[in-house]
Amino acid sequence: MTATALERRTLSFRALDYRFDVSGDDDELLARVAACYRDLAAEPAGAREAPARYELLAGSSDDRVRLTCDGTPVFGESARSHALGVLLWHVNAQATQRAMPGHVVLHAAAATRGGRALVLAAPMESGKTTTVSGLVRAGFGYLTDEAAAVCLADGHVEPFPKSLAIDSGSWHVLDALADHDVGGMATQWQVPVSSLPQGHLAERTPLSVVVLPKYTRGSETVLEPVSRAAAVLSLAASTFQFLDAPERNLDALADVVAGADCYRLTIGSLERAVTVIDDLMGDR
Amino acid sequence: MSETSGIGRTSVVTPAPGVHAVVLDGEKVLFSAGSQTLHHLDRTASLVWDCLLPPAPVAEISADLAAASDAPPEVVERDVLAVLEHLMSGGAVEVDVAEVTPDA
Repeated sequence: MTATALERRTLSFRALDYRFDVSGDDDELLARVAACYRDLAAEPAGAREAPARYELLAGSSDDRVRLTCDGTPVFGESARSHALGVLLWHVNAQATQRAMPGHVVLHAAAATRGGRALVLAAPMESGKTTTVSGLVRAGFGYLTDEAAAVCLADGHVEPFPKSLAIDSGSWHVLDALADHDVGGMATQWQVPVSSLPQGHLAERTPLSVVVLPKYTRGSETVLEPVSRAAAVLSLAASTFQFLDAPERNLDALADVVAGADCYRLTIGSLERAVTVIDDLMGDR
Repeated sequence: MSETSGIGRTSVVTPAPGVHAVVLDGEKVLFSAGSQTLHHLDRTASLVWDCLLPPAPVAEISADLAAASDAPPEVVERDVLAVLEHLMSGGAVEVDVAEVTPDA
Protein backbone atom coordinates (compact mmCIF):
# COMPACT_ATOMS: atom_id res chain seq x y z
CA MET A 1 0.00 0.00 0.00
CA THR A 2 1.34 3.43 -0.88
CA ALA A 3 -0.91 5.40 1.45
CA THR A 4 0.91 6.79 4.44
CA ALA A 5 -0.57 6.85 7.90
CA LEU A 6 0.58 10.25 9.04
CA GLU A 7 -1.34 10.02 12.23
CA ARG A 8 -4.20 8.06 13.62
CA ARG A 9 -6.56 7.17 10.78
CA THR A 10 -5.27 9.80 8.38
CA LEU A 11 -4.42 8.79 4.83
CA SER A 12 -2.55 10.94 2.30
CA PHE A 13 -2.71 10.73 -1.48
CA ARG A 14 -2.04 12.62 -4.67
CA ALA A 15 -4.37 12.47 -7.69
CA LEU A 16 -2.56 14.21 -10.56
CA ASP A 17 -1.67 17.53 -8.88
CA TYR A 18 -4.39 17.28 -6.24
CA ARG A 19 -3.08 16.39 -2.80
CA PHE A 20 -5.55 15.30 -0.21
CA ASP A 21 -5.80 13.69 3.20
CA VAL A 22 -8.67 11.57 4.41
CA SER A 23 -9.42 10.98 8.04
CA GLY A 24 -12.42 10.05 10.13
CA ASP A 25 -13.92 7.93 12.82
CA ASP A 26 -15.28 5.10 10.69
CA ASP A 27 -12.58 2.46 10.42
CA GLU A 28 -14.38 0.35 7.85
CA LEU A 29 -14.98 3.28 5.49
CA LEU A 30 -11.38 4.44 5.87
CA ALA A 31 -10.19 0.95 5.07
CA ARG A 32 -12.22 1.07 1.85
CA VAL A 33 -10.78 4.49 1.01
CA ALA A 34 -7.28 3.16 1.55
CA ALA A 35 -8.01 0.16 -0.63
CA CYS A 36 -9.53 2.24 -3.43
CA TYR A 37 -6.55 4.62 -3.50
CA ARG A 38 -3.83 2.09 -2.81
CA ASP A 39 -2.22 2.75 -6.20
CA LEU A 40 -2.11 6.54 -5.94
CA ALA A 41 1.13 8.09 -4.89
CA ALA A 42 1.43 9.30 -1.34
CA GLU A 43 2.67 12.84 -1.17
CA PRO A 44 5.96 13.22 0.65
CA ALA A 45 5.99 15.29 3.80
CA GLY A 46 6.88 18.93 3.21
CA ALA A 47 5.17 19.18 -0.17
CA ARG A 48 4.69 22.68 -1.49
CA GLU A 49 1.00 23.13 -0.91
CA ALA A 50 -1.26 22.15 1.98
CA PRO A 51 -3.43 19.20 1.06
CA ALA A 52 -7.21 19.28 1.00
CA ARG A 53 -8.51 17.62 4.14
CA TYR A 54 -11.46 15.30 3.92
CA GLU A 55 -13.24 13.99 6.98
CA LEU A 56 -15.68 11.10 7.08
CA LEU A 57 -17.58 11.39 10.34
CA ALA A 58 -20.56 9.72 11.91
CA GLY A 59 -23.86 11.35 11.00
CA SER A 60 -27.11 11.75 12.81
CA SER A 61 -27.74 8.01 12.80
CA ASP A 62 -25.73 4.82 12.37
CA ASP A 63 -26.29 4.65 8.63
CA ARG A 64 -25.49 8.29 7.92
CA VAL A 65 -22.08 9.83 7.28
CA ARG A 66 -20.94 13.42 7.02
CA LEU A 67 -18.25 14.12 4.45
CA THR A 68 -16.46 17.43 4.65
CA CYS A 69 -13.66 18.93 2.60
CA ASP A 70 -11.63 21.57 4.43
CA GLY A 71 -14.50 21.84 6.86
CA THR A 72 -17.18 22.43 4.23
CA PRO A 73 -19.89 19.77 3.88
CA VAL A 74 -19.87 17.82 0.62
CA PHE A 75 -23.54 17.13 -0.11
CA GLY A 76 -24.31 17.30 3.59
CA GLU A 77 -25.05 13.94 5.17
CA SER A 78 -25.26 10.91 2.95
CA ALA A 79 -26.19 7.31 3.42
CA ARG A 80 -23.17 5.39 4.63
CA SER A 81 -23.40 3.17 1.55
CA HIS A 82 -23.03 6.26 -0.67
CA ALA A 83 -20.31 8.08 1.24
CA LEU A 84 -17.41 6.40 -0.51
CA GLY A 85 -18.90 7.17 -3.92
CA VAL A 86 -19.33 10.80 -2.98
CA LEU A 87 -15.72 11.04 -1.85
CA LEU A 88 -14.41 9.38 -5.01
CA TRP A 89 -16.52 11.67 -7.17
CA HIS A 90 -15.36 14.79 -5.34
CA VAL A 91 -11.70 13.85 -5.56
CA ASN A 92 -12.01 13.12 -9.28
CA ALA A 93 -13.72 16.44 -9.86
CA GLN A 94 -11.11 18.38 -7.92
CA ALA A 95 -8.21 16.58 -9.55
CA THR A 96 -9.46 17.21 -13.06
CA GLN A 97 -10.69 20.76 -12.56
CA ARG A 98 -7.36 22.05 -11.33
CA ALA A 99 -5.01 23.60 -13.81
CA MET A 100 -1.99 21.34 -14.18
CA PRO A 101 0.86 23.56 -15.35
CA GLY A 102 2.65 22.30 -18.42
CA HIS A 103 -0.01 19.71 -19.18
CA VAL A 104 -3.22 19.29 -21.09
CA VAL A 105 -5.64 17.02 -19.23
CA LEU A 106 -7.98 14.83 -21.23
CA HIS A 107 -11.07 12.98 -20.13
CA ALA A 108 -9.55 9.70 -21.18
CA ALA A 109 -8.37 6.29 -20.15
CA ALA A 110 -4.78 5.37 -20.94
CA ALA A 111 -2.68 2.25 -21.09
CA THR A 112 0.77 1.28 -22.30
CA ARG A 113 2.44 -1.42 -24.26
CA GLY A 114 6.04 -1.69 -25.38
CA GLY A 115 6.96 1.70 -23.95
CA ARG A 116 4.19 3.53 -25.80
CA ALA A 117 1.01 5.02 -24.43
CA LEU A 118 -2.47 4.81 -25.88
CA VAL A 119 -5.18 7.21 -24.81
CA LEU A 120 -8.88 6.43 -25.15
CA ALA A 121 -10.57 9.83 -25.15
CA ALA A 122 -14.33 10.16 -25.13
CA PRO A 123 -17.29 11.47 -23.17
CA MET A 124 -18.85 9.46 -20.35
CA GLU A 125 -20.52 6.16 -21.17
CA SER A 126 -18.37 5.58 -24.25
CA GLY A 127 -16.58 2.52 -22.93
CA LYS A 128 -13.30 4.00 -21.70
CA THR A 129 -13.07 2.19 -18.38
CA THR A 130 -14.41 -1.06 -19.76
CA THR A 131 -11.91 -1.00 -22.60
CA VAL A 132 -8.93 -0.11 -20.46
CA SER A 133 -9.97 -2.83 -18.00
CA GLY A 134 -9.89 -5.29 -20.86
CA LEU A 135 -6.49 -4.01 -21.91
CA VAL A 136 -5.13 -4.37 -18.39
CA ARG A 137 -6.51 -7.89 -18.28
CA ALA A 138 -4.63 -8.54 -21.53
CA GLY A 139 -1.35 -7.38 -20.01
CA PHE A 140 -1.23 -3.69 -20.89
CA GLY A 141 0.27 -1.30 -18.36
CA TYR A 142 -2.26 0.89 -16.58
CA LEU A 143 -2.11 4.69 -16.50
CA THR A 144 -5.68 5.79 -15.78
CA ASP A 145 -9.35 5.21 -16.47
CA GLU A 146 -10.38 8.83 -15.95
CA ALA A 147 -7.92 11.61 -16.78
CA ALA A 148 -4.86 11.48 -19.00
CA ALA A 149 -2.51 14.38 -18.30
CA VAL A 150 -0.16 14.85 -21.24
CA CYS A 151 3.07 16.72 -20.53
CA LEU A 152 3.59 19.39 -23.16
CA ALA A 153 7.35 19.39 -22.69
CA ASP A 154 7.95 15.77 -23.67
CA GLY A 155 4.59 14.32 -24.73
CA HIS A 156 4.45 11.79 -21.91
CA VAL A 157 1.20 10.69 -20.30
CA GLU A 158 1.31 10.97 -16.52
CA PRO A 159 -0.04 8.12 -14.41
CA PHE A 160 -3.26 8.64 -12.46
CA PRO A 161 -3.79 5.04 -11.39
CA LYS A 162 -7.04 5.32 -9.47
CA SER A 163 -8.96 2.12 -9.08
CA LEU A 164 -10.86 1.01 -12.14
CA ALA A 165 -14.42 2.30 -11.66
CA ILE A 166 -16.45 -0.36 -13.43
CA ASP A 167 -20.15 0.36 -13.75
CA SER A 168 -22.68 -2.45 -13.41
CA GLY A 169 -23.47 -2.33 -17.11
CA SER A 170 -20.03 -3.79 -17.83
CA TRP A 171 -19.89 -6.39 -15.08
CA HIS A 172 -20.98 -9.19 -17.40
CA VAL A 173 -17.92 -8.76 -19.64
CA LEU A 174 -15.48 -8.30 -16.75
CA ASP A 175 -16.97 -10.75 -14.26
CA ALA A 176 -13.59 -12.08 -13.15
CA LEU A 177 -12.85 -8.69 -11.60
CA ALA A 178 -15.71 -8.98 -9.12
CA ASP A 179 -13.46 -10.67 -6.59
CA HIS A 180 -11.17 -7.64 -6.63
CA ASP A 181 -13.81 -5.02 -5.86
CA VAL A 182 -12.80 -3.09 -2.76
CA GLY A 183 -15.53 -0.45 -2.79
CA GLY A 184 -18.56 -2.53 -1.88
CA MET A 185 -20.87 -0.16 -3.76
CA ALA A 186 -24.16 -1.24 -5.29
CA THR A 187 -23.64 -0.19 -8.89
CA GLN A 188 -19.91 0.22 -9.39
CA TRP A 189 -16.84 -1.86 -8.63
CA GLN A 190 -13.63 -0.27 -7.50
CA VAL A 191 -10.74 -2.44 -8.64
CA PRO A 192 -7.16 -1.45 -7.83
CA VAL A 193 -5.07 -2.62 -10.74
CA SER A 194 -2.19 -3.65 -8.50
CA SER A 195 -4.51 -6.22 -6.93
CA LEU A 196 -4.96 -8.06 -10.22
CA PRO A 197 -2.66 -11.00 -10.94
CA GLN A 198 -1.79 -9.60 -14.38
CA GLY A 199 -2.15 -5.94 -13.44
CA HIS A 200 0.79 -3.62 -13.52
CA LEU A 201 1.07 0.11 -13.09
CA ALA A 202 2.86 1.99 -15.83
CA GLU A 203 5.29 4.83 -15.39
CA ARG A 204 4.84 8.05 -17.36
CA THR A 205 5.02 7.02 -21.01
CA PRO A 206 5.24 8.84 -24.37
CA LEU A 207 1.93 9.16 -26.16
CA SER A 208 1.85 7.17 -29.36
CA VAL A 209 -1.77 6.44 -30.25
CA VAL A 210 -5.05 8.34 -29.79
CA VAL A 211 -8.23 6.29 -29.97
CA LEU A 212 -11.69 7.83 -29.89
CA PRO A 213 -13.93 5.00 -28.65
CA LYS A 214 -17.68 4.74 -28.78
CA TYR A 215 -19.57 1.78 -27.45
CA THR A 216 -22.59 0.91 -29.57
CA ARG A 217 -24.52 -2.13 -28.48
CA GLY A 218 -24.79 -4.73 -31.18
CA SER A 219 -22.46 -2.99 -33.58
CA GLU A 220 -19.46 -4.45 -35.32
CA THR A 221 -16.16 -3.49 -33.70
CA VAL A 222 -14.36 -1.32 -36.21
CA LEU A 223 -11.13 0.70 -36.01
CA GLU A 224 -10.83 3.51 -38.55
CA PRO A 225 -7.99 5.99 -39.00
CA VAL A 226 -8.94 9.63 -38.58
CA SER A 227 -6.92 12.69 -39.45
CA ARG A 228 -5.05 14.45 -36.68
CA ALA A 229 -7.21 17.52 -37.17
CA ALA A 230 -10.38 15.47 -36.74
CA ALA A 231 -8.84 13.95 -33.63
CA VAL A 232 -8.06 17.38 -32.23
CA LEU A 233 -11.69 18.37 -32.68
CA SER A 234 -12.78 15.35 -30.62
CA LEU A 235 -10.02 15.80 -28.06
CA ALA A 236 -11.05 19.40 -27.50
CA ALA A 237 -14.45 18.15 -26.40
CA SER A 238 -12.67 15.80 -24.00
CA THR A 239 -10.27 18.38 -22.58
CA PHE A 240 -11.02 19.48 -19.06
CA GLN A 241 -11.53 23.25 -18.89
CA PHE A 242 -10.85 23.65 -22.60
CA LEU A 243 -12.69 26.97 -22.72
CA ASP A 244 -10.64 28.45 -19.89
CA ALA A 245 -7.82 29.00 -22.38
CA PRO A 246 -9.08 27.80 -25.76
CA GLU A 247 -6.30 29.11 -27.98
CA ARG A 248 -3.57 27.72 -25.73
CA ASN A 249 -5.39 24.41 -25.35
CA LEU A 250 -5.93 24.11 -29.09
CA ASP A 251 -2.21 24.66 -29.68
CA ALA A 252 -1.45 22.11 -26.99
CA LEU A 253 -3.74 19.50 -28.53
CA ALA A 254 -2.13 20.05 -31.91
CA ASP A 255 1.23 19.37 -30.28
CA VAL A 256 -0.15 16.30 -28.51
CA VAL A 257 -1.37 14.62 -31.70
CA ALA A 258 1.50 15.75 -33.91
CA GLY A 259 3.44 12.59 -33.22
CA ALA A 260 0.50 10.25 -32.68
CA ASP A 261 -1.60 8.06 -34.90
CA CYS A 262 -5.30 8.66 -34.46
CA TYR A 263 -8.28 6.32 -34.78
CA ARG A 264 -11.98 6.11 -34.19
CA LEU A 265 -13.08 2.84 -32.58
CA THR A 266 -16.65 1.65 -32.67
CA ILE A 267 -16.98 -0.99 -29.98
CA GLY A 268 -19.55 -3.73 -30.09
CA SER A 269 -17.46 -6.36 -28.35
CA LEU A 270 -14.88 -5.82 -25.61
CA GLU A 271 -12.96 -8.92 -26.59
CA ARG A 272 -12.73 -7.79 -30.19
CA ALA A 273 -11.80 -4.24 -29.20
CA VAL A 274 -8.91 -5.50 -27.08
CA THR A 275 -7.70 -7.68 -29.94
CA VAL A 276 -7.85 -4.78 -32.38
CA ILE A 277 -5.94 -2.47 -30.05
CA ASP A 278 -3.45 -5.19 -29.20
CA ASP A 279 -2.76 -5.67 -32.90
CA LEU A 280 -2.48 -1.93 -33.41
CA MET A 281 0.04 -1.44 -30.62
CA GLY A 282 1.91 -4.57 -31.51
CA ASP A 283 2.33 -3.52 -35.12
CA ARG A 284 3.89 -0.21 -34.30
CA MET B 1 -26.81 34.73 -53.19
CA SER B 2 -27.64 32.37 -50.36
CA GLU B 3 -30.81 33.38 -48.59
CA THR B 4 -29.55 32.00 -45.30
CA SER B 5 -26.04 33.41 -45.07
CA GLY B 6 -26.07 36.40 -47.37
CA ILE B 7 -22.97 35.12 -49.16
CA GLY B 8 -22.99 35.40 -52.92
CA ARG B 9 -20.52 35.37 -55.81
CA THR B 10 -19.61 39.00 -55.31
CA SER B 11 -19.37 38.84 -51.57
CA VAL B 12 -16.05 39.44 -49.89
CA VAL B 13 -15.69 37.09 -46.96
CA THR B 14 -12.97 37.46 -44.33
CA PRO B 15 -11.99 35.58 -41.18
CA ALA B 16 -13.94 36.82 -38.18
CA PRO B 17 -11.94 38.59 -35.48
CA GLY B 18 -10.67 36.26 -32.78
CA VAL B 19 -10.44 33.13 -34.87
CA HIS B 20 -7.49 30.95 -33.91
CA ALA B 21 -6.29 28.17 -36.20
CA VAL B 22 -3.98 25.20 -35.96
CA VAL B 23 -2.74 23.31 -39.01
CA LEU B 24 -2.21 19.55 -39.09
CA ASP B 25 -1.28 17.68 -42.24
CA GLY B 26 -2.91 20.30 -44.44
CA GLU B 27 -6.13 20.34 -42.45
CA LYS B 28 -7.14 22.97 -39.95
CA VAL B 29 -9.01 23.28 -36.69
CA LEU B 30 -10.42 26.73 -35.99
CA PHE B 31 -11.60 28.17 -32.72
CA SER B 32 -13.98 31.06 -33.03
CA ALA B 33 -13.84 33.26 -29.95
CA GLY B 34 -17.07 35.00 -30.87
CA SER B 35 -19.16 31.87 -31.00
CA GLN B 36 -16.91 29.74 -28.74
CA THR B 37 -17.05 26.96 -31.30
CA LEU B 38 -14.57 24.74 -33.09
CA HIS B 39 -14.50 23.86 -36.76
CA HIS B 40 -12.61 21.16 -38.58
CA LEU B 41 -11.57 22.06 -42.10
CA ASP B 42 -10.52 19.26 -44.40
CA ARG B 43 -7.87 19.99 -47.01
CA THR B 44 -10.32 21.47 -49.49
CA ALA B 45 -11.95 23.69 -46.91
CA SER B 46 -8.49 24.69 -45.67
CA LEU B 47 -7.61 25.86 -49.16
CA VAL B 48 -10.70 28.04 -49.17
CA TRP B 49 -9.73 29.45 -45.79
CA ASP B 50 -6.25 30.26 -47.04
CA CYS B 51 -7.76 32.25 -49.90
CA LEU B 52 -9.71 34.60 -47.63
CA LEU B 53 -6.71 36.87 -47.14
CA PRO B 54 -6.05 39.15 -48.87
CA PRO B 55 -9.78 39.77 -49.28
CA ALA B 56 -11.29 38.90 -52.66
CA PRO B 57 -14.78 38.25 -54.02
CA VAL B 58 -16.04 34.67 -53.80
CA ALA B 59 -16.12 34.40 -57.58
CA GLU B 60 -12.46 35.32 -57.81
CA ILE B 61 -11.47 32.83 -55.11
CA SER B 62 -13.51 30.15 -56.85
CA ALA B 63 -11.92 30.90 -60.19
CA ASP B 64 -8.43 30.68 -58.72
CA LEU B 65 -9.19 27.35 -57.08
CA ALA B 66 -10.84 26.01 -60.22
CA ALA B 67 -7.81 26.95 -62.25
CA ALA B 68 -5.64 24.95 -59.88
CA SER B 69 -7.83 21.85 -60.06
CA ASP B 70 -9.52 19.63 -62.60
CA ALA B 71 -12.98 20.32 -61.23
CA PRO B 72 -15.56 22.33 -63.23
CA PRO B 73 -15.66 25.99 -62.12
CA GLU B 74 -19.33 25.84 -61.24
CA VAL B 75 -18.69 22.86 -58.96
CA VAL B 76 -15.78 24.60 -57.27
CA GLU B 77 -17.84 27.74 -56.74
CA ARG B 78 -20.68 25.73 -55.25
CA ASP B 79 -18.23 24.01 -52.89
CA VAL B 80 -16.61 27.30 -51.91
CA LEU B 81 -19.99 28.79 -51.09
CA ALA B 82 -20.90 25.72 -49.05
CA VAL B 83 -17.70 25.99 -47.01
CA LEU B 84 -18.17 29.69 -46.42
CA GLU B 85 -21.81 29.29 -45.46
CA HIS B 86 -20.82 26.63 -42.96
CA LEU B 87 -18.14 28.86 -41.49
CA MET B 88 -20.51 31.81 -41.48
CA SER B 89 -23.08 29.86 -39.50
CA GLY B 90 -20.37 29.03 -36.97
CA GLY B 91 -19.15 32.57 -36.64
CA ALA B 92 -15.73 31.90 -38.14
CA VAL B 93 -16.09 34.30 -41.07
CA GLU B 94 -17.95 37.46 -41.79
CA VAL B 95 -19.05 39.23 -44.92
CA ASP B 96 -17.28 42.49 -45.53
CA VAL B 97 -20.38 44.57 -46.07
CA ALA B 98 -18.50 47.42 -47.66
CA GLU B 99 -17.35 45.14 -50.43
CA VAL B 100 -20.68 43.48 -51.21
CA THR B 101 -22.35 44.34 -54.45
CA PRO B 102 -25.66 42.91 -55.59
CA ASP B 103 -25.50 39.77 -57.68
CA ALA B 104 -26.27 40.32 -61.30
